[in-house]
Amino acid sequence: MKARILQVLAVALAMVMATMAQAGQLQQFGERPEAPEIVLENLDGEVISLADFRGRVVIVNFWATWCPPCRKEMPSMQRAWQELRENGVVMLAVHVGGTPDQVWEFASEFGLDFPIVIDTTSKVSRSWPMRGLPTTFVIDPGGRIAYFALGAREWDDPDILQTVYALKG
Amino acid sequence: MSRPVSIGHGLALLVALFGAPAAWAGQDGRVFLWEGEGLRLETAALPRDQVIAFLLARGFDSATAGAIAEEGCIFRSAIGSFALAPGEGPVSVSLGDWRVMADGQERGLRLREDWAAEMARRGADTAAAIALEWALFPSEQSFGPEDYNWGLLSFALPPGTPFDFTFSWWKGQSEYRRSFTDMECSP
Repeated sequence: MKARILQVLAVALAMVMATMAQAGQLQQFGERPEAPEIVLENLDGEVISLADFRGRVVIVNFWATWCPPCRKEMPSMQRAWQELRENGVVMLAVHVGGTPDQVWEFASEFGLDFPIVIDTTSKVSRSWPMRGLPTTFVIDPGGRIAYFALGAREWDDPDILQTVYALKG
Repeated sequence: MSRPVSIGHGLALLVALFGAPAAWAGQDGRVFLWEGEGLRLETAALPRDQVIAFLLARGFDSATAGAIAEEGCIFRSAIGSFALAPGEGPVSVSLGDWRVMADGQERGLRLREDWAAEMARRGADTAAAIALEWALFPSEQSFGPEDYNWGLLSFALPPGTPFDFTFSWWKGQSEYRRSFTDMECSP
């Protein structure tokens, strides 16, 4: 319990200390800490690792099908993905808890075809500096957290896309 | 601009904020709204049948789902920054500081960590408990411009209990405190 409280406080402190300068609708993440690893199965049971995308900009979105603002932003994420993938940017959605069947049904309904992995135990999600859904991070080609956003965004907004592309260097 | 508002039957506002989430389509309660000093807080009681439906869909058994709905006094909530200028803030909340006044007694909310311990004590389904944990609002959170989180607040009072609710937050170095009065758990 004590460790859990300390963990929560550490995350809160990290978020407070993060530099809050805006870049469009995204917040800069302080000194760009290294992103925690993600090794999880996608909806087809294939293992996806964040490390495999080193050298590319990656948008990592933590979400759940039952979270209203997560549902709200998914159509714009799909629209953004259609452009981003043509420009070498990776999108990875991490569903917190749940089962592949539940998520597959949702993805099918919304026509999502970007990579989705399932964090069934939420262990991976807990290792990231966030506690609420949705939270999205933009990872630079060096594998460091450059930006984050709490709450839904319109991910195909030109300002956001420009911020993401600027990380490609 | 600062305005505490109690909005009767304000589903339209929630729909405008969240779209039309299927899980909460029948919600029809009073909406309590605060916008000012950097904070936006919007909250509304969830009918117990909707709480139970949500929990059953997450994998809880009916006994546990019913107990959470009975004990929880669950409100759906959106908390975030309000009208922050670039470089201003952040706005921070600590739900452990928020207070409930009911029947002449002051108490705290039942937090995410409290429910996690309760679910462990009950031996609840692990996947369901994970969903409940992430559905409850984080106990500590900071918001920059445009940021908000969605989540459930648990006032942990019996069904139908009237109460007043005092919430506080920090914007930069300044602390603020406001109250909603005449709130009520879903009967």
